[in-house]
Amino acid sequence: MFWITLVANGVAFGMLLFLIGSGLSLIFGVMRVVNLAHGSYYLIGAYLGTGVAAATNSFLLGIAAGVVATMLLGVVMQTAFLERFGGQILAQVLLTMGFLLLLADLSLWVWGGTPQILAIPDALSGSVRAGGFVFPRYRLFISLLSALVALALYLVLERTRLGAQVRAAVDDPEMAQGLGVNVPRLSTAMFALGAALAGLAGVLGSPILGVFPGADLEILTLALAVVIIGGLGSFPGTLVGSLFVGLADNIGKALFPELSYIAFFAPMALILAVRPRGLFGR
Amino acid sequence: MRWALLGLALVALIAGTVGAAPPSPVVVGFVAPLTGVFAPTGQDLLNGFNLYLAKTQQRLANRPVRFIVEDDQFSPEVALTKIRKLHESDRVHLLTGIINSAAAYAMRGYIDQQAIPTVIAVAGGDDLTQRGRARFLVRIGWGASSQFAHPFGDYAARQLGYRRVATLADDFAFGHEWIGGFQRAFEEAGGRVVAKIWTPLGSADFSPYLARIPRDVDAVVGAVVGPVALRFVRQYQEFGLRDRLPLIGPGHMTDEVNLLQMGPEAVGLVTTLHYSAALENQWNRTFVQEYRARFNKIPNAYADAGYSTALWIDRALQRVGGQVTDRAAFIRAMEGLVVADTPRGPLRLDSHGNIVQNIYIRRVERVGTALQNSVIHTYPNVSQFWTYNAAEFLRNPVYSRDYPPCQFCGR
Repeated sequence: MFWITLVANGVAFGMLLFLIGSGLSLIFGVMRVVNLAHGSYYLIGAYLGTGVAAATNSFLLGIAAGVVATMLLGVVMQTAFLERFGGQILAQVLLTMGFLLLLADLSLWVWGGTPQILAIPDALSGSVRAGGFVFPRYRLFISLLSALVALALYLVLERTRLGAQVRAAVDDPEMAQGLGVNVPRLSTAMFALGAALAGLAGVLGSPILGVFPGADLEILTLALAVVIIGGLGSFPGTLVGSLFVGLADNIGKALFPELSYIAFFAPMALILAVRPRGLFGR
Repeated sequence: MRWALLGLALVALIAGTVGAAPPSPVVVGFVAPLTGVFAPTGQDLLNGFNLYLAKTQQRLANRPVRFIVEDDQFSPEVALTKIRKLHESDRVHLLTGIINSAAAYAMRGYIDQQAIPTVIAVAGGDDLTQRGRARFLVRIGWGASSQFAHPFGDYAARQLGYRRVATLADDFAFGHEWIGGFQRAFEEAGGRVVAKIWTPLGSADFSPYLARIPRDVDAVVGAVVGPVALRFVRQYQEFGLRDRLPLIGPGHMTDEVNLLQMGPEAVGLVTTLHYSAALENQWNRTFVQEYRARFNKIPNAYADAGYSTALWIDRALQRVGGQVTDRAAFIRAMEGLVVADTPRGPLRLDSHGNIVQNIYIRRVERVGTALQNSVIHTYPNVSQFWTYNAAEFLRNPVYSRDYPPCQFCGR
């Protein structure tokens, strides 16, 4: 029973990480830039979602607010700033680093430093019981919703014309442009989608993780571990990486609580030693 | 004669102007985190201090105050730099504030060497006023970390009747000292700590640790502090533990600021601290009312710490006629001081410069629409040495991860 609980926890936490990691990976795919401001989308999504959900008493409106706002933020960041530095990877990474600090201070200014936590919506509160197995209903909801998002992302990327254009733009932007794909527009769209996914994760995560200054860096660290293990820019890699981090984190902490960070950073180092580009990296 | 009269008049005039000149100000340096993650805590402390100064028209012991506020960003290095600046360029008479214990430890040598009276308002590291106490340091705000753990261990065994408990605490000095103090008093009162789980500071997900809690215990003692306390309490309920195992612990978990964010998951939690905004005494009622009027929120223990520390300094200065020129005399004045009219109850110092104060056992209750920490039991005048002899107590090592050893773990 101990093990079933641990694995279920690990999968649920992994699926939340998938939402963040897949956004980071998508943005890297089209921009070739590790977006260090990715944790900020999570933070802002969480703050806005918490505020709107508490004010309107509607969790759905909270989600909508978090997703739309981070999507717009992503569009502005990409079109007004990052795009000007096309190809200059160092400048772009520094720019995202700047945004990380800027948005952290801005959030502290707007929302103050008091930690906040969103109430779990009534329909999703309580836990599911089967024999001795107890699992929070809300975490089940997160897992299922994230799995749906993963499926949708997979279908769009692999089965649609849009997905084919994205893959072409990732593999060879110049050739794709030459074949009539509007690569800049596509990059903006993917950047917005990636930011929105992180914003969604922020709203979904706030009832169990809460939100406070510093939550952005906490999540960014985990998201980086996910994409580094899975391979940056790879969709199946992100899925495997998030499940790996979720499970390793849970099982490692339960078995060796004193070595909690080693539990997933050590396997990560090992994987990188054997496959420097991650499990699914090319 | 005429000249003599003129001379006399002149002398009188000079004496008159000297007499009318405002007395030179007392210079107080205040150091606390005002940016970063701990900014809200520092702000609450500062609010409390400012509320007191506002009530005295910015005077201490009837002298005007020059109150210099410095931000240490919760970093010991920055704190030390700011303290040097306050001493060497602002020539402060005394220092106060200090939330980070590491900062307080780091400045001990300097304040003793320079003889700067320092009134700690929050930092709780046990050894600040135990093994290796600085001569010029006294602690008013919170007391030592294990000071409010001893009575709680006693309460859990004798009043709550728990025999077996598991502990889950932050893996850093506060968690070690608090759990250590709890364990000693709890086991001396007949209880057994059967599992001690340490979690890294700021854990995102407590579920793996919650899964490790043995189910055959009477209660779980959780000492998780800071912003993650909210998620700890939430996750504890989420996994269905609240219905089966009571959660008890230090009052940080249900700090008045946290309670604003909490819901049903917090109701019924039994915690301990030297303060609660719901304390029923005339000074606290006035304090809560004035604090709410000025800052539009409910004071927490940090706000009280700022207020009571300012009050303490005021009374100590009055004892030395407002003069801090003899710094050792000022420390001695504080050591003999007894203050009865503070929001948190009567205060005095022990032989090691640490506050002796009431420790309250509180239960979270819903009153109207808001949650509050209702006081259900009071341990009066608790010292950091609890019921032990100070010399014997100090011969033991400071409480740590492995001290006291967990003799009943796994049994």
